[in-house]
Amino acid sequence: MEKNQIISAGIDIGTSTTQLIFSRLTLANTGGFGSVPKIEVVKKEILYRSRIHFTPLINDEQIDAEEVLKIVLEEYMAAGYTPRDIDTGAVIITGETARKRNAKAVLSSLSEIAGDFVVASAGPVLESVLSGKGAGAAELSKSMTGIVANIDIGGGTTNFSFFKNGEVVATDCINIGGRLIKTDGERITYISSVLVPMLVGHSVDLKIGDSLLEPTISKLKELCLLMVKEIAKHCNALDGEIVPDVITFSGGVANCMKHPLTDFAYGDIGMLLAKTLNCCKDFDSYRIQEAVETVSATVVGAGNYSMEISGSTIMNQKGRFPMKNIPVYSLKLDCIEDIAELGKSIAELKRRQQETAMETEAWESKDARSMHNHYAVTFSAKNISSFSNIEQVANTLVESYQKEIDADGIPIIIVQNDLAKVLGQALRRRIGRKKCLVCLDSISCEEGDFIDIGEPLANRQVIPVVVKSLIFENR
Amino acid sequence: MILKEMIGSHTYTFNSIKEVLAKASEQKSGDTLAGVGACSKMERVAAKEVLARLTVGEITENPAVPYDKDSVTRIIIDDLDRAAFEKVKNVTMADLREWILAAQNGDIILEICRGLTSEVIAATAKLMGNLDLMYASKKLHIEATCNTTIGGENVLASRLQPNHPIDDGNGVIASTLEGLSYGVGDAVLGLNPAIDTVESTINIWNMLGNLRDTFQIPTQTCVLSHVTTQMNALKTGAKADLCFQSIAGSQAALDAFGVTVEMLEEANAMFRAEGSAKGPNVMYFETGQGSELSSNAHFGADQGVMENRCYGLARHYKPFLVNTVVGFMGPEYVFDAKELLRAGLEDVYCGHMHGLPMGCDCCYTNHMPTDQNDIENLFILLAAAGCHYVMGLPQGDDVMLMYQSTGYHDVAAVRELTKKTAIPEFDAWLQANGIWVNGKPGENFGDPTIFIR
Amino acid sequence: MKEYKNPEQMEVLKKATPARIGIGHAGARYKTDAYLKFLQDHAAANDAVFEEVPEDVVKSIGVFEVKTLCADKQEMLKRPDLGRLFSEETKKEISQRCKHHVDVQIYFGDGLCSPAIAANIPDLYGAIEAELRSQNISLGTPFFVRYCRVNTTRTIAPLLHAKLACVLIGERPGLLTSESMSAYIAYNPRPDMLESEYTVVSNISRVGVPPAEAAAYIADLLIDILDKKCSGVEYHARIRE
Repeated sequence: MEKNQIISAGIDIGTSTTQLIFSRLTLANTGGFGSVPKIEVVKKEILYRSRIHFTPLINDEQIDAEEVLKIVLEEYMAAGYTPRDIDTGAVIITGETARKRNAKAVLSSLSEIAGDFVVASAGPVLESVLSGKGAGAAELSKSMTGIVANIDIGGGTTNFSFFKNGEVVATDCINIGGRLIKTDGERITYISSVLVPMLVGHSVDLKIGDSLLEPTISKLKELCLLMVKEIAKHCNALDGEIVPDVITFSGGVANCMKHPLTDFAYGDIGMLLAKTLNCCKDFDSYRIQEAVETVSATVVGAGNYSMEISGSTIMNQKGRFPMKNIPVYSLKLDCIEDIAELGKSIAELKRRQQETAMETEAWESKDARSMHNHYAVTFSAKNISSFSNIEQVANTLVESYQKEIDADGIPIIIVQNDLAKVLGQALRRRIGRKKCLVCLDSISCEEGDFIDIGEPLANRQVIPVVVKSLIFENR
Repeated sequence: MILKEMIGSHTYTFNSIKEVLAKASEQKSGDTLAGVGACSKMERVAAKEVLARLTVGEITENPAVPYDKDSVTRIIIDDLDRAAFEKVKNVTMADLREWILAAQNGDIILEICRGLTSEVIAATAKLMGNLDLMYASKKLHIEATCNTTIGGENVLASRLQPNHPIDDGNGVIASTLEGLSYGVGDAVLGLNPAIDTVESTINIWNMLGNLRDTFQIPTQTCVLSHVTTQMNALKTGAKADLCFQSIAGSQAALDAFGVTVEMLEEANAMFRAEGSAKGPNVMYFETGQGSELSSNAHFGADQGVMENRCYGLARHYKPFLVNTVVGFMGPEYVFDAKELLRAGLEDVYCGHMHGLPMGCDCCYTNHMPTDQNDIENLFILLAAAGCHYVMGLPQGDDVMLMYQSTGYHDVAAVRELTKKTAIPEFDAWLQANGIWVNGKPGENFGDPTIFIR
Repeated sequence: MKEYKNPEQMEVLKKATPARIGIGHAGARYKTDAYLKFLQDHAAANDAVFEEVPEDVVKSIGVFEVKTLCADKQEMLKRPDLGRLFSEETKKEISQRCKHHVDVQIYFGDGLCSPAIAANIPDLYGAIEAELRSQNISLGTPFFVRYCRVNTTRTIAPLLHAKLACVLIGERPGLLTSESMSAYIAYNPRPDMLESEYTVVSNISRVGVPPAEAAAYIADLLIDILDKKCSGVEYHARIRE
């Protein structure tokens, strides 16, 4: 069996800490001897973990891009890697930090030095998923029948992810974290604005400058209790439909739960929050299990789990990867009956695409490599398998996109059924080999998602893809 | 030497002892394919008549492949117990057959067998009916020890074969737990891997080893990759008990498997010294009639003789397990239920005569005109014939190798019918877990979820 | 009596493997459902081997039919040597009806699974043909061989002076699928070629790799094999370089 190894980097710039890992992902053909190859990631090994750095900030609203860059460069040196050694990776700005004003600028400057990375940003959904996978909750859920919830309590946010049989069934995110209040050993130096409703609502009277003596200590304890109650309330997802059997805790606060120190050891309320969690009875009805990763769950998730692999692919171009932030639109094409309506469905899709494109143009254009005019079309083709039907689908797709193809656009097709290669060839026969085309499968995404498509890997046999469910919600 | 027989007005002549042996064989499609089998029933009987008059010495002097040209022949001849051979070299095959059938004590037969070459033992089978084979076979109990000891008189052991199309760990464990809950797995927990790499061999081996240790199951483990892969796995830290290899009855046929006798020697020494099993018996061989012909390395001999030469090679390494995979080669070698049944009975008898703890994979492929009923018949006959072990698969269906064998349920049912038990230590473990209690299904029989905490 | 202490766990175990586990028991025997399901699967597999490919299936595919030296299915199973040979007359027919000196000669064989022909050939051959033609590969005349073994390539390719032969042939059925097909591909096949010179793509069926998708892979493979001028072990060594 042929095997390939790739080096992946994960960089997590969180509210409080910035971390980096390098891992080796082993790709192997699991298609079985003599069968059509099926390339999958079969092994993930972490080769290097960085120190845990405090995320450098210029002020409370701005990340210090230069300092972040310096940290990343230092860690590359320490690990003995240059950007050229890295095949793929993910930079993720998480938590409250993702709302800092210059997040996007930091991301694009970082991805320039961090190799040709596939992904450059995370919203709360992806972030929850990554922390849960990094914490080992997804794996754990495969070995049992019930639901595993991971609660990743970081500096600015708490991310919930729920897994059943290895698959995500729900996510959630709330503004609770250990670094929403900062201290300098004597007094409170910072209170995040996201805390205001909670403080006001429960008449907890705390302000910047309060000294860390009674009654402030009691008030902080009261606040922590409120926070823990809030976390407990979110343990059931989808209006109580999803109730976990097992809970794992990750994030910096989970680390504090395992290794208690004095109350303000980290210059924030993380330790106090951890101690409150440890005493809280609200989680008694669940089985609590230890996470594989605590403080590094998100970065491990970013390095090891952000990427999906598409094996059967047709790509007709060179040097145009990575393609980033490509919006996904879905097409109703499940069965043979849908083929007749395909032209009409595509026309509707185009209308939707144009409306949305105008809205997103504003921020898209800031990314030097963003694909203004490009978008991906996905459909299931669940009940379509015959060659003649595939030819019909190819005909209609090419007719509908003739104008775009003539203008050197790149049709990006994502088929859910195992058909990408034959459909890709059928399209290529129609548009010619000089035109560009990307046809993928084994990637699950839906309308509203964005994807990044990376440089082909493993002798161009596979393409890494990251599906981002929501990036930078507009608030 | 006169190789002639007159029956009625027709005289049958044979040019060599090899030809007599081939034509005296019961019908097998593989011998027809090779062009060595009898052309008529009467010719077959004539050959048997000639064979009955030949002496042990005459057959010994005419090995299927010359001594100086073949490493298997050399092992068979060099291993011969000369004193035992001297006692019987002038005995005719007719008399030898009767002595074997009449002998009361199996150990005395086995003592003489050490002076018999594989061709001689093959010849005795050609003079026996099915019930003769069973009757003789039943007397022979061969003990061998890896972690546990196989070969007790009342024992019917079983290999648990948890194969999976792509060696998925959870899938292998699932099938293994299911099998254990039916009382299967005392001979070995042995997986045929879909992927023959060192890494994957280590992974599966350690997974099976850990499972065995966790539940303190008195048995042994094996991953049936190529012998060189297993040696590398052992060197790289696999928790490995038994070393497996498919073998064949000539040096040329071994070549086709990528195996030499030196390689087997090395593997045996390495697994004794560094393997995780107690020993001393640490080898596991599989054979099957027709494999020599399939690599065109049969030297004009019939497949029964070539199969016996596998056993002659195997006994050199004092293995813990040897089994014939009797119906796997395909209908061009063993065609239908009748041939399958015959081959199974011959192989187990001949294996026992070689002093091997012989088992049988009672099996068939889907391109044979056979079905599950046929191998159930073979299984119960072999149980009566004292066969040491059989295979246990989930409902007999191998989802990786795409053939059918005996099922977990079959092992249990035949044990119950013939009042046999698993290997004693394993039987005690089954009792303790409520799986098999006092010779019958216990309350946890068939429930693999008892192993999940 | 409850069958399993932990029925949910049994479901987890069952999901991990296609093997027949968690099927319960009646005494030490099978439950009726499991017993009948097994019989059904074996019947499908066994019938797939022993039944003939109907003539109208061959007609609907639109190719002509020839036969090896085997008289019937039984002989084909017992005599693989005859399943690779043709009579002089048949060889003449093939030679007369087919294009010579082509890059790729594709033909179809029943092999050990007759239903595989009707189930796979239309999509499989259709998609291979379309892709090869678009890339200007010269393609031989396809035909159907009854009682066909893989090694017919050793006769057919030299007969038609084809650079490469690809036989799409029914594979020995397991109990999970009884309409699977394999492609055996050989560059420069000849009577004395080694078995290791074949490149094989197996498990083509609705439940394995769907025939149209497998075809796209095979088309690429055929073009690459033509380009590298070798198949089998040597080809795999070359692409690993």
